[in-house]
Amino acid sequence: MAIDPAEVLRIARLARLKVDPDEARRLAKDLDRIVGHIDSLRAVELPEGSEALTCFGRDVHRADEPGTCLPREDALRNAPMQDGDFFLVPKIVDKEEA
Amino acid sequence: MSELWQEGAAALAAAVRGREASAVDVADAHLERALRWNDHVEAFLHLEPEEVRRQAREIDRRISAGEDPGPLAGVPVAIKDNLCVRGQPTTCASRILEPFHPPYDAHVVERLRAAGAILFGKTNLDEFAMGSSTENSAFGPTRNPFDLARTAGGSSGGSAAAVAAGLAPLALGSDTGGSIRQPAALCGVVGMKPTYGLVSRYGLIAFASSLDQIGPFARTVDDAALLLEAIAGRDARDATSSAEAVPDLRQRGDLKGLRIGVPKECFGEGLSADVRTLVDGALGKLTAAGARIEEVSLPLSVHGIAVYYIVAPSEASSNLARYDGVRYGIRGEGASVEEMFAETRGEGFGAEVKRRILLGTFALSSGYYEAYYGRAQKVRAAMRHEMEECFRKVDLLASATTPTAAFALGEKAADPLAMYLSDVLTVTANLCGVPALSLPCGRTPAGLPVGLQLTAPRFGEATLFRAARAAEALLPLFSWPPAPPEPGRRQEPPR
Repeated sequence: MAIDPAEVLRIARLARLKVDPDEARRLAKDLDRIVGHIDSLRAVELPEGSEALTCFGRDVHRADEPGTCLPREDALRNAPMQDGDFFLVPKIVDKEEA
Repeated sequence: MSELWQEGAAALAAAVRGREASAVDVADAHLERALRWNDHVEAFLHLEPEEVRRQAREIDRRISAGEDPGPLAGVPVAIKDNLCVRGQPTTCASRILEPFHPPYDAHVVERLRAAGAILFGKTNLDEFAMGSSTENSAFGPTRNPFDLARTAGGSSGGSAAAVAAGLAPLALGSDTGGSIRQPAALCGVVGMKPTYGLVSRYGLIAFASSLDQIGPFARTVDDAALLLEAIAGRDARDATSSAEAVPDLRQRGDLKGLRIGVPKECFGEGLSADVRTLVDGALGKLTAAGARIEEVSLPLSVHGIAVYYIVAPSEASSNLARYDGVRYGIRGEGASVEEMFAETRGEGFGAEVKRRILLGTFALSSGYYEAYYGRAQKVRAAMRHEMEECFRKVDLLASATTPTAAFALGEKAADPLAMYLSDVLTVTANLCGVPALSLPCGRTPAGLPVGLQLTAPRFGEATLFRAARAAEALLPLFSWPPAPPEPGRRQEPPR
């Protein structure tokens, strides 16, 4: 699988990551080499019906009981923009859409 | 008599508990040294002397009141800056988290406070723990105390350098692909990655959640065990935290009859002659002490780096999605939410973090998921099975920790793949969830430390620490790095 700058820009959009065209060219070169290395896994012979690794061998759900939460003031303290009650973000819905 | 900063953790805790030294004296001795050395080594991103002294005074007060503050009473412990300490900066060495002050303590930090330890600053790392040299830190690299032009390793390079230079007797790091063991080896100290699930990851800023483990740095195996004892055990806030009893880390014994497998794949091309000579020499000493060394084979381990560089970036791309400029960290400008997200992340993340987010997003994206992530998890399962089979025949595995001694700063910075390959001997333990420990086994002719890595089966820490103690007694003792050049300032006392 070859990775070119256009592919980098496609992935960057999926990752919500701003990448400028120069950066995309450099990243394409790096990622192409790395993907070239990891493509070696295609040749690994695995037994028929091999399963993928999963982490949990047991039920890890906690009991559905109310507990204490982070106080609102603490939760908001690190936010770049907040009004004391909510996190503030740029407008999400356009007037026409709404 | 040695200076307080030269003492190990066990001796310091005993002295503080026995009122032979005050916690404030211990803290001051380390502060004085840390503030002087940090200009050269750049181990700490954040160290607030007054906060350290405040904690030390509290320990002294409790001792005066007849209380026992715990097994780490008055012992300074440096904390990797991807572990949350309430109210202190926790940046992950990233611009995106530069203003972040966590509103809570990580589980391991709570446990350290409960054990009477002094939280001694936040140490440098590769941004979000992604790297093997700390050169990916947004705030500049840590330097190796044994040669300031070389890397201290990474990602926990700051923690390793702090312990090696006597700036703190203990430090915590995190290990996702070798990030404790590799810098420990390059800085000549003991570093250990526990079994996956032995130490709670609550409050460790996530990189690759199925691989990340928190573990200790120390100058002796005993001190590493003391720190691991303080932080290990079940915590309901980490769903992967194990309910198994914490292994007994205090066992002593000789190596007679211990079966140690030496994977032939670890001694191939790429292992430097200097490292091979020291590791062969160490294995010879273990044999002479009664260990049964035998060659074993782990054929799938040669695919470790390829599997790792699919699994870790995939998990990272998901974990790092939370840095969107809304709840914490910096925020970029944007007219829409989506534009704001992309600007924030474009400005806030460094080059390596971007590479890994993109690599992971690629591996998980529609059309590629099965070919990359799915395939990697299958090979990983087979690797784990192969490792389990191997441990039916041997008690431990031994190899070098790193293929080379510390490389020069800048040497691999422009070649991500070359940097990735420096983790070739350490990633397997993370992929298989098994514990592994690096201990110093000598220095190259250039004076650079080299590490011997011992690996045990899951929850095999009792055997691992017992064997490491026995091996440590046969190998060269820890020795201090030379004093850094300080024109016009007081030189360090001779060692």
